[in-house]
Amino acid sequence: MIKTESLYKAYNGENVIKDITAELSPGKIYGLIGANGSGKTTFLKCLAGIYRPDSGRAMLDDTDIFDNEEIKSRIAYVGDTPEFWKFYTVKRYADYYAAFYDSFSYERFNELSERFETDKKSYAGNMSLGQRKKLALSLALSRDASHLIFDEPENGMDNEARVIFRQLIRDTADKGSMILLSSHDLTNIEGMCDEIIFLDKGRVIYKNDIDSLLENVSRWTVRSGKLDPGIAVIVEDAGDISTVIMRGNKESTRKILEAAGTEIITNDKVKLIDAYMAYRKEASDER
Amino acid sequence: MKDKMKALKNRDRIFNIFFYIFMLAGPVMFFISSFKDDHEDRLVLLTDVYMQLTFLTLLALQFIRALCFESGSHKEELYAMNISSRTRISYDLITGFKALAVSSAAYFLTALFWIFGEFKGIYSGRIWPWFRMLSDSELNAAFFAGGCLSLMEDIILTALMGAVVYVLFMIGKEVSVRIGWALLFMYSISVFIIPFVFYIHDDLLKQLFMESYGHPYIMEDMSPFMTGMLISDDSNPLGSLLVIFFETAMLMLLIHAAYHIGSRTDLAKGGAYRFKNVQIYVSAMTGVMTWFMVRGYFEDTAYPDGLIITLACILAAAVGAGMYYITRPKKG
Repeated sequence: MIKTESLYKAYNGENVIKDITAELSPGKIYGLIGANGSGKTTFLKCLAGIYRPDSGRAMLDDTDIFDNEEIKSRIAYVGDTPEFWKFYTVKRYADYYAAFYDSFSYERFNELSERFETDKKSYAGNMSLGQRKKLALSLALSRDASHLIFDEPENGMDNEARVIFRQLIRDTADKGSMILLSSHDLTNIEGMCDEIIFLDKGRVIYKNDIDSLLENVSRWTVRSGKLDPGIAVIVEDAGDISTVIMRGNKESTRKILEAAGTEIITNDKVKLIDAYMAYRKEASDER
Repeated sequence: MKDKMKALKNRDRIFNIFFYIFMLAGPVMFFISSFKDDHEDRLVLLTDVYMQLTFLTLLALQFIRALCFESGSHKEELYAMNISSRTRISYDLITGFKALAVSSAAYFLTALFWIFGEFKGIYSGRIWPWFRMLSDSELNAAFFAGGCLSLMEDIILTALMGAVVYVLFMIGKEVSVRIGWALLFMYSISVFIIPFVFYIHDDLLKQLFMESYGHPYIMEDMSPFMTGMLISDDSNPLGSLLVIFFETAMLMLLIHAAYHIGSRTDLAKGGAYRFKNVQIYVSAMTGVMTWFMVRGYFEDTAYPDGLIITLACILAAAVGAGMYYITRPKKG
């Protein structure tokens, strides 16, 4: 299990990651969601052993990840824009990874290269972003790592590759691996992940499964004339009709709106983005 | 667990071919030059040049290797892999020391070829001038043995000096997000450390060997700072002062880097140093030093002053800007 304890990481004297304590269990797919600059990439890189925590710990099975060869052999990381050497072919890269990782499987790599339609003779550094992403994912998934970390994995990939990727990570998680991925595309992440982590200004403001998350957020269409902006996040505003998001289940939020004298028009289905905005507002109010 | 050192060597296998070609180029040039006319002057010159060329070539090639394989996002990929900093540093040190040993051994064997040839009378008249300077003795076995010892002393000292310089370069590379800092370290230590060791060599060891060889050491009464590559003579005291200031500053940075190396093996630190605007100061100093170096180099030539000053300004600006570009902070 990957764990963090009071994790801090700073740039230029300012904490980008603040006091994150979390556990990520095997067999699950975690979605990491946050605005630009919220600390997602920094958090992922701390877990991948690229960055050394300034304080606190990032551990795998209670052993610090940073600068530990044995521990890092069990973690696979794919960044948001993987770069490859221009003078190495795809096949050469497979050889390169096979030289470092005991668990690297050529058979698996060839199978993934076929599925992603990657030409093994082409030079990796000259590929488009989407092609490099596919190669990076193929290399990572050929390693039989128990923990996989992806930063914006679908960014730059075509739709077909995205479908293949989602199937692959689902299969990998079902076999017992832990998968953590960050994304801005909340629509897609909703269907992919078992648990969601919201990151806001370097802090975790929510971590749990999606069903629990959506049960505790409500979306209402109201007549905005008597709406108190302090009790809800307004997501759409069309004249005197507004769509608002509130923390709390349907009944409790209905009572709040009625007590405030707001005219309710409909109760709508909650989306992941709604939940994210509600939690962000709450975190902002607490600050 | 896989052999990481072997895997890194496999990664560099094409590069290593060119690596050793360049490291052996010196001894080959030395050997070939020996057959030419006026070989004595060439040999003396090449001997001196080689001593500096060996480890500067090593540093330059290792810098290029780092630039090819470990710069920018490739360094991040390297840090994400299951390679510890100990493995990385061990690999860099071992490959560097091996190359230095091979190059120095090739140089020694080449020189030994001529010594043996001279001794046996096969290649008469090709003895190096400094052999004759060592002693007025006859060309007997003891004389040649003394020459071999002197040669070995030079090689060992060169190799040791190269090893020290190389370790400092590795420190610079390890603590840097940007490879440019390693270049800066390499540049500064070639200015400071090399002449300093020559100074120690001459000053401390001359008492031990002078009686044996009677060799007039030419670096007497010169301070280590003044024997730097950027030396300015007494007619340019401001330049000399700037040389001393710059070299001292770089030495302090090197010591600071070595002292804090443990905490600096972290890509998120945004470069070797977190002092605000240090890259600007270092780049400005480098530009100024370049200006003085160019002025000093062309001082006694027939080129017009205006042209020399213009060239100095252009090169100073280019070097300073280039130094800033390669050492600028990495954004997290």
